Amino acid sequence: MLWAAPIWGQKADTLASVTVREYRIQAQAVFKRQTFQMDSLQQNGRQNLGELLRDHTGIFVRSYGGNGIATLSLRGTSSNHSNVFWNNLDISSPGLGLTDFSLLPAEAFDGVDLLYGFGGMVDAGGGLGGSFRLRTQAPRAMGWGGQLSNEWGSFGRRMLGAGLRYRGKWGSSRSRIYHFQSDNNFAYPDITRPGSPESVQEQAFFRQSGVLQDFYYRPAPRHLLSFKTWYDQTYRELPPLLINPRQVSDRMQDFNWRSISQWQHQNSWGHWMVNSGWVAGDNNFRTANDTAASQNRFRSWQNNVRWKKSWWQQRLRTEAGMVLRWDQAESPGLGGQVRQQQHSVFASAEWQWAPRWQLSALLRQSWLDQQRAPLIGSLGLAWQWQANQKLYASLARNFRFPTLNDRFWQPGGNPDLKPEDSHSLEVGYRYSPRLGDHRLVFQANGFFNWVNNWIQWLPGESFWSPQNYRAVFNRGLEMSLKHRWQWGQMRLREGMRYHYLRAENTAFYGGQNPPKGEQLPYVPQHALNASAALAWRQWELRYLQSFYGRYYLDASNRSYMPAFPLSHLALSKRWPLGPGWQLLSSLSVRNLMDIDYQILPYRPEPGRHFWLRLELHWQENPSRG
Amino acid sequence: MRLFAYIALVLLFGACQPDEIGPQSPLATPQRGSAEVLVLNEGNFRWGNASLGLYLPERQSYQQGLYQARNASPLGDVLQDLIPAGGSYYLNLNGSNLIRRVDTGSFALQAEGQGLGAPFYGAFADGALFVSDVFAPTILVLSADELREIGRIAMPEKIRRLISWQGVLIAEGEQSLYRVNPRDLSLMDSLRFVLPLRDVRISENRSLLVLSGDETRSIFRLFLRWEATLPPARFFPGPLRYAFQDEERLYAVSARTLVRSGWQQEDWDSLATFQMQSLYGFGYDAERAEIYLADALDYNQNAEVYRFDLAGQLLHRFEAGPITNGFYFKP
Repeated sequence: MLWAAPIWGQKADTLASVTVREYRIQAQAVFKRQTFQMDSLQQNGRQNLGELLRDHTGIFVRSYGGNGIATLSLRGTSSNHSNVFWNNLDISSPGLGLTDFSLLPAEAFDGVDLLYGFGGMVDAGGGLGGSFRLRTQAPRAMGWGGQLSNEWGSFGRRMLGAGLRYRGKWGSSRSRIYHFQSDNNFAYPDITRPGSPESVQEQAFFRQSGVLQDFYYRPAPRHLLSFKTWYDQTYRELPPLLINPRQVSDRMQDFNWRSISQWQHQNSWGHWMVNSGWVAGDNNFRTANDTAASQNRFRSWQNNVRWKKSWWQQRLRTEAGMVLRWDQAESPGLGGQVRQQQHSVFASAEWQWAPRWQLSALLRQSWLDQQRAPLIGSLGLAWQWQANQKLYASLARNFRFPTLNDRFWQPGGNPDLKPEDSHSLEVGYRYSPRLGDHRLVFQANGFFNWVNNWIQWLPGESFWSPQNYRAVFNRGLEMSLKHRWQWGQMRLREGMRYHYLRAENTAFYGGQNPPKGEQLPYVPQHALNASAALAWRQWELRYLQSFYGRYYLDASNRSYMPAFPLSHLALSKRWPLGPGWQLLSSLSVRNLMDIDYQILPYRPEPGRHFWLRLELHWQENPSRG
Repeated sequence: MRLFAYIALVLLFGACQPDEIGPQSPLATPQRGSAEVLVLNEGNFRWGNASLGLYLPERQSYQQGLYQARNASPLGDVLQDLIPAGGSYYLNLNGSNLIRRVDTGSFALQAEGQGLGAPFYGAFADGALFVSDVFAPTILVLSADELREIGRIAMPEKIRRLISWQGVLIAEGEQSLYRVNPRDLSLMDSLRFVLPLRDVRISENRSLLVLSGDETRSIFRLFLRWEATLPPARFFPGPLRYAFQDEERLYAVSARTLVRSGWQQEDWDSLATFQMQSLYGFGYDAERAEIYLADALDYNQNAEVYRFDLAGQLLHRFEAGPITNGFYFKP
């Protein structure tokens, strides 16, 4: 659970305890996992998932300044080595194989599960760095409820969000809309000019709007049908590098639509889930002055069948499933439409064979266009050493198919690429003592991750082409310490996370120069993140601090970006307005110390700025939740 | 008390304003030598990491970032070409859409021409700077001092290299050479070659050496004048990238070999074999009779530069900047 979550955070949800529960995919206990509840995090201001991760984890998110594209590197892997699921749908572009985290506003989901390393293999292969599960949830309370939120901030920031929900005996509904825009006209030091004079960011407008609708219908106690849909559109100007002429900017529009229908059923044979979903994405890019434009679109039809069952008083838990998926991408660079089929079957089991010992195993077999992939899977062991101490370890193999762009781009696409093949070893330790009024949780994870046949686009005589170019070895240590303490009406939560990561090439296939042990570009070795939340009655003061160490810009480690610390402060107050009514106000100061920094070269980030947020909540029957 | 100590600690920690903002590279005041080679590191498109390096052959030392060290600001995005003229170097930065004029001795910025399309290659003729464009079939004519546009020549196709030769401007197209009058900015005539052009450069005796070819063969032509090619064309049974002439001997390189022949010679001598991953830059130092080859590797690592003598002996190998595309040998 996230440390910075407010102290009045809500509990996890199920529709009803006596009937079928929402099918939760069984995450293996031998991998690291982190869970976020959005209702607590977004109280301090609208953020996208990239910004949330930067604030609350040690994950390094590469953002192109203010409103630009945001990608991330998990455990030293590439930006297309992380899977992103929304309600069991893979929403990554099959063309690029990656997700832009700046397009995932926190309003569009209620919770996030972050599965580090190969923990995401229960969903799909290919997540060599990890996997994100974004989920929406059914309303908790019976009757009608609603929410209206409004936000104002520096640099022309405005946000309006509204939600309406209903929960009855036979089903529920939840509707949400959001609109956000920002001029992003912040001041920054222009390091490309002698003396670094102050300049103002121009041509960086960002606008995002979306609508979500969830329906749940329970035709019988043991059946649950649901339909969830999310439409989102974004327009943004992409300001040029500081080093380039400022008068013009490229522009990009994204249209995304995701829908999924799901049937869940629970009987003596187990818990079943069958779903079918549709993901569509259009990306229109125009260069400055309209000198060039490209329209890229993809469609993906995904179908899942899952079954899980517990045996022997829950001592053995099994899950199995099948994924059938058809992808299509269209782009001028692809010469029209290209298609692929990607299917897989999997089975997993967790067996508590002795009171303190648990064995965990998973196997997954995938096919890409009738081509059988290597069998992947994991084997893990967990030892509940004492009531509050646990040790676990896992060995795993994963792989990632080349993307449609890798295979079919014209010119350069390489249909003969091999899948990227990865092995990992992970060990973890968790200690959660209770010392009087103080509750502590310490967790440490060490991992080793080898990736062979890493795909990289390389120059040829007249065009670039992807090749299985290198082998990479990543290893790291992730530690976190959490503390919670209550004294009368005062409650305190603190947390600290530290990530050490060493990522290097171990071989260049066909290259002239053997690697010299350089750190991979854009992978900081050290990342530190801390938070503290102090609550008293209806007030809460929250402080966030993050620090990213120096990271290199080139494979030769000659140029680098300097380390930067960031801190944010937020003060919130809850105003009960009467039965069922509540107003929440918060004032956030971002980049509290007004640090001048860039994450990507020549893409300035904003200095100190402010957000003011008001949220009005209404629930018809507050006591019946 | 502990709480306040904690808050004070994190506030202190968060208050550290970094001394450095943006990309950093180790820079030092450049050492100078009697012989100097300027190394053009093109850099990655949209990374803003173009740089000008200095190699001292006598000391076998390389220094990075001459421009940034002198001007305390980065050079720009994609350094394509360096054109010497008068007391200045003109640096074409096509990703930054600008040309910088710097002093040849100190590298101090003298002038800057902005909004010039995507400057590709350049040449000086008749007191003006002529510059081709990466995307447009035009040649831009700029004033030498302020880099203002004073003319524009429409061309039948996109132009790569420009060479000032025998009072005219030679413009290299995909498979054609064009002759341009630098005084009235008129397109005079053109020559079409059988195969795509690979390399065009002035030889020691001021003749124009043209290499064309494909994956299976290479053809050399030597122009004494525009109208006269002497001696007849020479052929090589394989792909070659760069060619130059030294004392009537013809040299050429590919990513795998350095070969030599003569205009009257039947066969080719293989002087050296090597395995360049991405041969990207070439320079011929006529004064020292040496060649420089740059291997851009995977375009993410810094380029490796190989310095050979004309017997094919490797004299030195050094690491330059990202994507080295050319060399300028200071006279």
